Amino acid sequence: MNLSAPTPQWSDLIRDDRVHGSLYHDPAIFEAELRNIWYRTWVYVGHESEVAEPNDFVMKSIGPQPVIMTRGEDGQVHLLLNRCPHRGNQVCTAERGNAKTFTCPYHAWTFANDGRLTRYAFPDGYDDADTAGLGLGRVARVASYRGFVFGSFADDGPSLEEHLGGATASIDQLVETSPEGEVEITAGFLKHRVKANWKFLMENETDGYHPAFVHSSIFSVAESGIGDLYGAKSTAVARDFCNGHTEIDLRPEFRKLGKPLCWFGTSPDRLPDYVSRMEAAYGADKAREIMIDGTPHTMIFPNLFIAEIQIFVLQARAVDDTVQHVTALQFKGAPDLNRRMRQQTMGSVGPAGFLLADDSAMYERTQRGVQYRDPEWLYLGRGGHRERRDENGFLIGHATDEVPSRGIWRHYRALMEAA
Amino acid sequence: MSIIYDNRSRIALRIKQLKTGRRHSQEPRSQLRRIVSNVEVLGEDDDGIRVGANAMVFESSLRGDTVWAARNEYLLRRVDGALRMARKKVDLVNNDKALYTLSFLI
Repeated sequence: MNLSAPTPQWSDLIRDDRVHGSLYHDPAIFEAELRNIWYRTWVYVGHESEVAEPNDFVMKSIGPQPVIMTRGEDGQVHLLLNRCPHRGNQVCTAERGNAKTFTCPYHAWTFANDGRLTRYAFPDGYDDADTAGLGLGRVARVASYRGFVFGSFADDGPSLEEHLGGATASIDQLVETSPEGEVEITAGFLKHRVKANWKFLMENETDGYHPAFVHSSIFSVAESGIGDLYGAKSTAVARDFCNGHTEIDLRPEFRKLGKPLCWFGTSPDRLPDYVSRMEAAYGADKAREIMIDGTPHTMIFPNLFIAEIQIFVLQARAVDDTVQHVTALQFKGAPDLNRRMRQQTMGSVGPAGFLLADDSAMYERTQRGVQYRDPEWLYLGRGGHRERRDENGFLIGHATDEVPSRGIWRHYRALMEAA
Repeated sequence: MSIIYDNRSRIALRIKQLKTGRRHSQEPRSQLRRIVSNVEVLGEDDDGIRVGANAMVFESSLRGDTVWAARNEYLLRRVDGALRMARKKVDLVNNDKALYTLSFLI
């Protein structure tokens, strides 16, 4: 009996300028993605600041798998699976806390916060040898880049920095927004669930074509300048960093305006403390440059979206069930900036957000649409005739072009064909 | 973080956005029925009258049908002989879980 799902011919489903609709709704394809993407490549899990103290823990996930992110007494970050090796019970039901050990409520097996089995009830029922090697499951590899913690279920493969490649520049750009060079994830998460495939969300994050239409309602009544960044005359750039990572680089527009903090819809006189801390940290010229450029708009494959003022963590739970975990970015040493980050995040994103509620309507409509019979393909050819390479060799195009989607699908196909 | 954390001007912005006709998550608008029950007066001070209630909202939208259950708290004030609402706090029962889009004013 063949228990493995049938493997599709990926070249039949993914072409240079179009992808087949079944990629978004076929449960067998979702199972293949779990094997080849979510349980193999580097996936963003959480941030070191969420487990700031020894023995802190917080519940996270990799796709449908809950993952406990802990900091051991020695300061090391561990990613553990919430499954007792005895009967499979969940050992932790708290969302976060501080604990040296986790005790399974079923038969009182107890685990250190690095996953080792340390004690069990009525020990004379076992030879020590029986239980040697039993412990909580682990995510095989854990690595972090500037505080952002990623996990990979594969024992070996590319290093995190190899995986991130050109996208490390976005994380570097992000942390420089803090006068202390550090991001903190401390504002709490909004969890927004949608009846749509995770890839519709991932592609939408760096789709610069939709804002002028999906978000025209809020742009018009809030007198926001964001709409112009994604207009036909915008000088902003869509970029494929390779390895599935993509961005909309808004810096050309912000540099043209040349006004510090314009990216955040404010000005230096409204955030004087922040400005003086930035100048003290980086010097006046560099601080001005950072405050003109702003923060990145970058989708790190497959699940971390850095969205200027917040991060979104995509959690694929089933073929048509995705959760976006979203929180305001908090920059160490910038309390006045951080307060506004939280206010704007609560307004714009999450289940009721001025922006994200309407994005979610699009995800869910497209999810229904791809199950209709005809036409079977989604067309991703926009801007193919004007794609070019930047000084680093990355493919770029106009902000509204589908350079990012095509890049995502090239990487996706390579991962799926590597089975 | 709150799902909705509106002051008076942000509520006004929400209404303006709805009225553009391009608030896509409300086109067509959600069909709603509300039940407010177990109303209790919790106290009164200089700030106003504090009232608690349980609320159930049934929503039918393009996505499907959703039931929203909440504990609500209100701050009411007497203005020219009528009760006016100064504050409303909606505490969703399942706010620890991932929630579907909530694009009407609950």
